[in-house]
Amino acid sequence: MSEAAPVLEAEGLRLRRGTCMLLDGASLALAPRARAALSGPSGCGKTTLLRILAGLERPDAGRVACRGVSATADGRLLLPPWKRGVQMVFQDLGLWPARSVLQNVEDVARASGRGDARAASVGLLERLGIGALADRKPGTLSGGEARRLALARALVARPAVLLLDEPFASLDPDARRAGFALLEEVLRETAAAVLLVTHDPWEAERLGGAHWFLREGKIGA
Amino acid sequence: MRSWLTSPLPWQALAWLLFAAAAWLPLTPLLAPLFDGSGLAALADPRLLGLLGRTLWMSAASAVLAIALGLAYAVLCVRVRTPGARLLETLLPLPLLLPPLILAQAWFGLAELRGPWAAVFTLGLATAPLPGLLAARSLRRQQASAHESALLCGPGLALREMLSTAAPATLLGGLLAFFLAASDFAVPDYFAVQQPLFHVYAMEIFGHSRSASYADGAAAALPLVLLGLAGLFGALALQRRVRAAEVGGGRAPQPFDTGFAAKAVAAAALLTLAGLLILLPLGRILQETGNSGPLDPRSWSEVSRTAFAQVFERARSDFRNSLSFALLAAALVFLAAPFWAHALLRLERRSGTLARLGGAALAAAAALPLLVPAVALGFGAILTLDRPGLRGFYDSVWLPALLLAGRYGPIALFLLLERMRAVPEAQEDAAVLAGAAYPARVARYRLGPQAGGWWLAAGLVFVFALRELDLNILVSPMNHSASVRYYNALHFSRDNFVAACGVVLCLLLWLPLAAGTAWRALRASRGGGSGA
Repeated sequence: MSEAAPVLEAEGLRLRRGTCMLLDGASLALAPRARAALSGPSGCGKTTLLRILAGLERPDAGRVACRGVSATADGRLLLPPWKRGVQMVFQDLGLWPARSVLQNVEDVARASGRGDARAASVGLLERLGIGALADRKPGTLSGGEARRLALARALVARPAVLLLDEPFASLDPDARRAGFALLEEVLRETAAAVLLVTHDPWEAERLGGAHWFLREGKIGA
Repeated sequence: MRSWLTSPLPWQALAWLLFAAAAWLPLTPLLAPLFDGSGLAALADPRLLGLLGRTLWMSAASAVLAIALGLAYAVLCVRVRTPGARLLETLLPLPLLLPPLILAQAWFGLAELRGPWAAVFTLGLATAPLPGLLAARSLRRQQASAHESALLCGPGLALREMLSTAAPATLLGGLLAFFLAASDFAVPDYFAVQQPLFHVYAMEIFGHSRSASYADGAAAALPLVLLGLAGLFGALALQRRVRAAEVGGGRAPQPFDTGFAAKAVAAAALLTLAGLLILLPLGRILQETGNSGPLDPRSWSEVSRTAFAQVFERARSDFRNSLSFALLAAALVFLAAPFWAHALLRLERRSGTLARLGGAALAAAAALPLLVPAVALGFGAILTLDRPGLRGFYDSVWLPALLLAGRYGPIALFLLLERMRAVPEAQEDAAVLAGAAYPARVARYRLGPQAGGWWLAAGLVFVFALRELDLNILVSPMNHSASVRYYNALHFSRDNFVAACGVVLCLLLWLPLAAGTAWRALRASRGGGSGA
């Protein structure tokens, strides 16, 4: 782990679901611009961990700090999701079906206070190769195009931390490789720290940085 | 396996024959004036045009009120952690299930409401569950990650995204509320009797029954029938948007995580809405059962007991008739609606413009009986079925059952169609490969996983048939029913008997809902899913 002050830090996270102890003292720290991949068996709590880091879910115990500010402590949300500087690409993408491709990105740009919302959104869509689809609705996009849109929407907010929850799951191997190559290119241009949840060792290796495993509720290398 | 058992054709033919007899046959006299031009005379008469205009603005105002109340109720129940929300959500369908006349009586008693705005207010309350229930369903089906990705950018964006998900369903509910309000006769009639006198178009149609000029009544109904047809296309278009917006279906979005003060305000707002929609009117009706004059020495409970005893003595046969009509109508629909819905589903799944157009036309024709005014459907039934050769049938319990099944069958049809869409195609395909009989394919494999919806559909037909008033007033074999007894008592005397009659009617309508809720709770506690 980097020695610079972390932009995202979690310590001693615990979460019980029924009789299952999903997180049992999970801790991690992400320095600015750090890259880390997180793997683990299906259902072990990787997505839940990302949701806790983003402030979308509360742990039973433990603390989360964003940019040095205490964000979650003792099961209470001290900082709402939109004040954490965190963006997330969800496994099922969570695109807004009633908004066009451009509006999906532009809405986030405006909400994050960017003065150049329209230009930045158009530029990012072009950069990701879906500029020509700006007027389409998300429901009409292919799987790969929809994933690029989800990535554009997360990046346009210029987050301090980018959480990627298996962004290329359910794509065929060629599309996965192409998608990941594009992701690598775009990530080189962002200042965000990145935490990627993946089952694919190749993706974890290509991302660079740390490769953590979530086992029995704890994070280890 | 015999081919008639596995082939859809004989079963579909039987089911659609029933639909044609129950719904399309009584509609034919309503469409005939379109071709001889007599029905359009209303549009040339300034008085009738004025009535139509008043009906339209009153219905629009009711629909706006219904949307505002229904959407607020849905958001507070589904997306804010309001204390008591689960309990209060079960009350939301009630105003729709009660005869609107009961709400009119209650609000007249509560606030002495009068005139057209009183009718607007009452019909808005009565129809608020339509946008409310549809919005609640959409809010639950919003993709959780779509809500969360908006929440990462701020509460404003999350709120806007939530409302844009619910908007098509809410507007669809508002459109249906508009049609129910436009075709309602009893509520404006009630407030007109209380003075000041005013008229709406449904009252004009109903007026023809006094001179037994049913053909003129059917012709006068044409503008509202055409309005229903026009609205139908809007409803179908909105339904497509509803399906596009509800992309979720897995994990439901979490309610907004608000602080204590916001929760308290939300709880107060929800309680106020529940009070307006159902608690105050029901409380008022219950209180009226024991009202007595200043010189009456009896207590409230004594007067109330006497009123209920009178209801069971005088109106017992009317309640028995109503229950028979409603149970038979629900049974007919229970048997036929899966085949109606499956026919539409098969057309939807077929490729080709002709099949798609055929499906849309069939869906429109199937929805029409619900959208025309009930009084107009009554005229149609009299004109087509009150004939010497059909006298035995006309005077039997089967005519009301058939008419009510035709009127409210479309509710079951569209509900089952939606439930069938949710079942993977492969389940039925596997049954086809196994040579299962067609009824088993539909009932066990296509509808089996959604059995709760099947019971819900029949239950809704039962409840709507039981609360029907406009049709019951017009068609003579349906006159001896609970709702007509209530209507007559309300217009001829305003005493404890009327209120007790209303309470008994409410209980009868509420019991299926309570039974359904208890069944769902039982299934959920046994881990059997949410059922309906």
